[in-house]
Amino acid sequence: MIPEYEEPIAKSNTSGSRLRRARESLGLSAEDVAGELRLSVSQIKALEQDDYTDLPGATYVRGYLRSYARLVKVDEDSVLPPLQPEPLARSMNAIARPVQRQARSSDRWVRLMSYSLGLLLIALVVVWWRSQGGFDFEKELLAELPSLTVEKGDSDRTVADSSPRQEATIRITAATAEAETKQSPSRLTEPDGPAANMRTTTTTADQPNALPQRERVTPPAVLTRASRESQAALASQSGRIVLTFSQSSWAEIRDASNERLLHQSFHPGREVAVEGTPPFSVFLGNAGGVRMEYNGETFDITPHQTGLYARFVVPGN
Amino acid sequence: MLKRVLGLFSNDLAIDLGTANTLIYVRDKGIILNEPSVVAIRHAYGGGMNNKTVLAVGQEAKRMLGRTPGNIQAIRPMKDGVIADFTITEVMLKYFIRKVQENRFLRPSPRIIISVPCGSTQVERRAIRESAAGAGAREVYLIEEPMAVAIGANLPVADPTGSMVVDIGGGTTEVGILSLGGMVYSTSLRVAGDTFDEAIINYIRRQHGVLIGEATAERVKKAIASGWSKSDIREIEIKGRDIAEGMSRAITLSSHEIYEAISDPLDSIVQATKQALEQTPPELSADIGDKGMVVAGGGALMRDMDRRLTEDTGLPVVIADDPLTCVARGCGKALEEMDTLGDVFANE
Repeated sequence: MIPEYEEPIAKSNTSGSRLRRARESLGLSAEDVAGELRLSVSQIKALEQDDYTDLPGATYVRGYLRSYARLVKVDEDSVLPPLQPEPLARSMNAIARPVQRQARSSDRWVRLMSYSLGLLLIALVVVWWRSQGGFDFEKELLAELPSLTVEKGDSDRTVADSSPRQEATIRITAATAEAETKQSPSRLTEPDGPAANMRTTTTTADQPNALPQRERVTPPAVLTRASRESQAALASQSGRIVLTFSQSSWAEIRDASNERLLHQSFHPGREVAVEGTPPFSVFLGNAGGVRMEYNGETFDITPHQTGLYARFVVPGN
Repeated sequence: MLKRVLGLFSNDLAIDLGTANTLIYVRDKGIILNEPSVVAIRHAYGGGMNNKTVLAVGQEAKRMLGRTPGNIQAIRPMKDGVIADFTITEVMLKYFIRKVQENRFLRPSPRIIISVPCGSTQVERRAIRESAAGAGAREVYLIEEPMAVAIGANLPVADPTGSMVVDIGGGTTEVGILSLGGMVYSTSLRVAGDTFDEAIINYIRRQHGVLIGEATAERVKKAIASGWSKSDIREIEIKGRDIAEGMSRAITLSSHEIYEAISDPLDSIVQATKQALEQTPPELSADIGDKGMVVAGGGALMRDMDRRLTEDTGLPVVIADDPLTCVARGCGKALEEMDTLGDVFANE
């Protein structure tokens, strides 16, 4: 007996052994089959032993098994080993020249690009919206800030009752602006609508010292040396700060209502006078280079100085 | 530039633009379209030849072949593996490409790989390229059919070992011998499935005096035709128009008769493979003698075709898995890995 026939029983149901049994039942020898299929006897034996290592490849093995199965009248599909597709690139890489790589939507950089573009677009839209809404935004701030002053000074908010003092400018403006905000919520959409304008006119007309509407935007009480003399007389109830700069420095002064009176950087040699309601909170960026007078008296900054800058309130406690 | 951007939204395609069937492989998805290459055109009354509308494409149009009234024309725009009617091919391609692209909002603009017969001329290749570009392709790559078959059948195309493929399609039979990612020898024969059909029609008219159509001839071929003289005998009954009487008549055909009918085209295919073997360098010839040749295409499904080739060439013959889609799978595999493969594509 030929050795390859002595196979263990456990392996008797493999495709190779089934082909072999079918061949034997037809009375064919391995040589006959090899002759019919034009394969070598060793290849036929390898197929019958399910040993595909020396055979050329999966496609050929499947083809041989199919022809063999047809020859010995066995169902073709039952003897075929499962297909294992091999990636082509692995074998082709060595010899092929690449085609120019194509970007695809799933690529990481394409995705990153589109996300950052989207974010940029959103940021641009926000910036644009802010710049469009800037006018209203400022108005609202203006309406809010002086209202604090009104509450502090007077319990009544109407313009007619406010006393005609030096601060009247600010107060009237504040009240008008507030009244506008309260009475016409549509002001945001129609900032220059006729109704709003008309109301403003009537309210201001009610008060004794009718002030022109143009003064709605509070001018900062920063005065140059030239205009200081004329303004001095009005300063009886208000505080007055004079800053003389020997070095360039940043200066910020807020009055009692926390309104910014000064917010600027000054060159050496400048002198600035500020008037308003005390107490003032003062911030000097380069305190060593600034001499300060409060209501005509020299104010010593040095105790308040921390490093370069100084932050303090005048008049102190 | 716009095409590049649109390209991000479309999947690349591999197309087996065959004479009989068109298969489309979509990147990352597989073969999702397999339809006959047939277009049905309706001519509007009174509009002359310029007033045409597309009535049906693919499977539906194939059912109309040979059964159309005067104002409808069912056309097979591909003939012998190449474009016979440029405009209709473009219409057909456009229809198929739209069908497989999911994105309906943006007009797709994919990269396309198309298989061409290795024997096609420069003009024919350019026609295929232009037609795909007209159908919306951003870039068109051509791949020769034997190469596509070899890749589709998982042959070791890149190894320094010879592989031989025979693709018996609808319009052409392609024989190729490949090694190291290139074609060592290739030949294209305009004898294939359609030639068998014609041979069957002629034989039945001559021997039985009955006229049958192409569809019936194809049915006969698929049912009983065999490529080997010693195959089992099978029979089929068909109906056709009697030439003498003009009446419908039924005849019974045996597989032996059909073998006789198609023996001429079969012989030329066998001759072509023999010739290819004769032209092969000896080392590759030894490799092929050891492993055998791989047969694909619709012709590989003909009964005992492999036996016939085995008998005549003395080589083992292997039928590829799923021979009808072998070219499309090969194109698809080249598509999936086209970013790393350049040399498998053919020049014009």
